Amino acid sequence: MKERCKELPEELWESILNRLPHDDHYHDLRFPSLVCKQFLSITNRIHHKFVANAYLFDVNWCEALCRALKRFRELKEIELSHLGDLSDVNYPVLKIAYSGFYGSSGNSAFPFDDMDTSATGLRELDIGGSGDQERLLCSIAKAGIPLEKLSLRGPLLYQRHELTTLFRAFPTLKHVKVRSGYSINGNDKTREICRCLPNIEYIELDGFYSLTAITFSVLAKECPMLSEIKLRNGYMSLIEDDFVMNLERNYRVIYLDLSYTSGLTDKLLKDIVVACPNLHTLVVGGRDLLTTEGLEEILKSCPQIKHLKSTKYVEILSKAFAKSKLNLGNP
Amino acid sequence: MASSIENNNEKLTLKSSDGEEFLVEKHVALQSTLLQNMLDSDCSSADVIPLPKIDARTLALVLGYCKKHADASSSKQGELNSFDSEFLKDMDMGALFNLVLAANFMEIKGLLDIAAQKIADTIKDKPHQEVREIFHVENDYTPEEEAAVREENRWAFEGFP
Repeated sequence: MKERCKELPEELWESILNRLPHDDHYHDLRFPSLVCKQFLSITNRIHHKFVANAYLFDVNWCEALCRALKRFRELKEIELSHLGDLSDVNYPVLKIAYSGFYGSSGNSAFPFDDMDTSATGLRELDIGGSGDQERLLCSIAKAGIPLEKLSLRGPLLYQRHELTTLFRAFPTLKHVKVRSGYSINGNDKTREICRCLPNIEYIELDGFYSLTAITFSVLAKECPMLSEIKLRNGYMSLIEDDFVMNLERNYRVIYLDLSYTSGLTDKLLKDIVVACPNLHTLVVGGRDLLTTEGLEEILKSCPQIKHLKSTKYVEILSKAFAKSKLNLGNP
Repeated sequence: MASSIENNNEKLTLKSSDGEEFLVEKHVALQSTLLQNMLDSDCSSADVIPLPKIDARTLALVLGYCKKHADASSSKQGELNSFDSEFLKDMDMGALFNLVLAANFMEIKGLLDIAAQKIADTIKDKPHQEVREIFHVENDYTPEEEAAVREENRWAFEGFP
């Protein structure tokens, strides 16, 4: 009898086996893997996503979780779902990191303990939720993982250890997003943080009430690769003399979001925009002190800006710029 | 000599591997990305477009699928879903394999999706011995190798609910 297995090319078998239901993938791939060597190879390869729920984080099942991670080396995604009490997940999450998994932690808090050797595959980390965040951040910093993307969000209170401690551990970071609860005090501190991030291309600081114009200035000056800056929901105070003194032209910044930032005045915004000759997108609006006239003047004198996104000024400015190429829209 | 594209009524002639010719309306043929690319690049100037990997029985099925989908408007998605289910309902595994191969060759994504899904559904929850029978697959494991895979499965999956 003709072997139908050989009638289809490998990619079609892969397509077929990949259509087995994902909600029970472990069981459904178990049988095909026993059919023949070709099926074993395909089933091992196609297992991209691993869903780990609270059951697997039980002490007795944690080893099973680790064995599955070793078996499926092509995993791209781990979803941590229904975790419940976060204090119980240290050990399994540590095991995931040790497995060399390359991917994101998903949307759950990610407590590591004593990570100091082999979690080198991790590139993206998204930390949120509640729990002992300070201990978590200390252990991550100590681990020295070559992270490229880091997102810190939620009610994170990082009192005793500064952000510099964390960032210094990750000089490979290209993408940083920090939301609420942190503080950057003083220009020297900002400068110190920037110097810890030599490869940063994107930074988003949301809800920092200690932002000053100097923060922007230092970011633009000290981070040579930085092209997108989002300083949102903060308070942008101006120390004018220092600011003028420190503000240098930055040709890399193309995207600037200062929406919902209190204290932003026409003059301050103009100084910032003039210092960014290649800026093409500006996002403003919310709690700022800008005037429509001031913003109109800025936009007319800075033709490099192609997109203005604002919840507040778009309607008024649309008449003034009806014939220009400026693209006005909501953020 | 007739062209593969009849200018007046916009039709193409397709020829199966066993020599049967099918006159197909252009909008039906356009369900196939392969034929669409041929038409776009003007590679279809030959009298007949040969499809050497597809036999007449399979090509007839493929064109039936394409005609239904080309003629249906987007508002009839429910009707198309019913058609797709009925279309594959009593098809044997050999015909399904031929259909998957043809859909893959002619680049008809919708047909490839439903045919591959039908094959996957057929083996869902089946023990491996039965899957071997369905696909006429010879067991190429030695007893020792099969035991090793079983063991690997056991340790990989042990403890899962």
